[in-house]
Amino acid sequence: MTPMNDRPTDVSDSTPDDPAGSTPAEGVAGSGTPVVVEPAGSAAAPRARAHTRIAALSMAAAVLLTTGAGAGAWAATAAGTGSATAAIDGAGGSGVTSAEDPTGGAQGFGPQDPRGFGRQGGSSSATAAVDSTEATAAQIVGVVTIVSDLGYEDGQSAGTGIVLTSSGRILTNDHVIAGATSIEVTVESTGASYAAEVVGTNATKDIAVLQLQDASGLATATTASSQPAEGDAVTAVGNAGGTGTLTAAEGTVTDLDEQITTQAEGASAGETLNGLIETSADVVSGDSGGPLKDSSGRVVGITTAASSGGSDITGYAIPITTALSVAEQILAGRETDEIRIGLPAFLGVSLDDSTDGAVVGGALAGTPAARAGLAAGDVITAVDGTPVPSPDALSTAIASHEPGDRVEIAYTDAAGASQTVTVVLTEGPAA
Amino acid sequence: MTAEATAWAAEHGHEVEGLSAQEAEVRVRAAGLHPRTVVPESVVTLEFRADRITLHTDSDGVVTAARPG
Repeated sequence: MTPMNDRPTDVSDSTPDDPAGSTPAEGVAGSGTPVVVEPAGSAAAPRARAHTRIAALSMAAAVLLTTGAGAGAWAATAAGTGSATAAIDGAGGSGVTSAEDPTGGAQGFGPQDPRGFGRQGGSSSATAAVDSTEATAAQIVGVVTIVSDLGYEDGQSAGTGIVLTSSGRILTNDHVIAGATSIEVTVESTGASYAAEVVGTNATKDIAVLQLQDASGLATATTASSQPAEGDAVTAVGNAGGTGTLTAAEGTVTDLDEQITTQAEGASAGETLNGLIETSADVVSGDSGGPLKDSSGRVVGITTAASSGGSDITGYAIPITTALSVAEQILAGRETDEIRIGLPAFLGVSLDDSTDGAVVGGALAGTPAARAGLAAGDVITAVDGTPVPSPDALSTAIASHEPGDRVEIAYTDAAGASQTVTVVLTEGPAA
Repeated sequence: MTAEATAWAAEHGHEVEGLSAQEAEVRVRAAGLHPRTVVPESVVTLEFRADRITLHTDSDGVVTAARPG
């Protein structure tokens, strides 16, 4: 069975917790909105297929990634220099510019972890020697660690994020929170943890914006208003190894305007990103979404990917100017082919890897599909009267809806009888 | 959240070095973990999955390292 789904989520025909999509732009309303999805009763069935990206889930991601593959050519240059406090909230920037220690800060935890903390701890061997130290107190200001519960995959993922506003707007990579059914964010400079909801995502550009619940007075990151130059010294700060301890990896900018295509994994397509900063900093798993800082402590990029297997690690970061531009589009609240506001609609079926149409492999417990009685062997043939001759077509059809939408599903059951059922789509995991 | 894959890699990672990627994947799955096999010079995203072992391979498809995440 191949993972494919529309998009995951919460359930209840009754009342999905305030669809994250309804989260207003900061400055307009605010908090109080519940965290991201908590898939009630979602545990059972799908978890038996741990590590298999559920159809709904991966299809959603696949669609988004495929759509955007190679489409986003970013401007790699930006005029001007100097720094700017990340002011991206609707209120016009309530952020507090952090005071970075350009020297790297001796007042922090110290340049070396006395425990000999090693990135990628537990590695059986090192094809690449990783050079990093525990981040200093100055380096962690405006940086958060992110842990996503992947409720439909029975797993967790960890990454890093950047504090944009004092009220808890967070910038990170989309892939850090993809598949999340709940998200916890820890502001590392204070140790305070918050539930987070997804404001919006752009999977094509690999950017997501989160909102921390009930956050205020947070120190923000200082962002650069221009790209670094080749040869500039940079430091990547991130949640290396998912330990929750931020580390710092120093390097230089080795190239600009780079294009990469990440390796596909399972049913998830690789992503093609353009206009990236290439760095020699040793970035590793867990660093995604974290800041790449210049020698003045300003964020110049968001660590996103790295080469693997070679004797040296080559890291790639999305320029902060690009990331902030995407974040502004998300915060404008308008969905486009690339931008999704809030969480996606979710039916809750896994689909067989079949060329004979959208063949249901199973209905995830607690989802609209399960409540509607969809079961393994059913073949979904249409959504609201529109034929869905393939898993992709079904995914696209569901993705065109919003959580709360009522849709008619036509299907042929295992006995060969034609059936129709009306379901109320719920919120899916982040896509 | 790092215990699972990290602990496995520390304890068993060396055992899969020298195996083919397919053989290593079987062992990783048998441990209830999810293998991510990467080929030389490929580029991967840097989210950390507590249930994932990244298998680095050489040009012959032989595992050279098993890392958590």
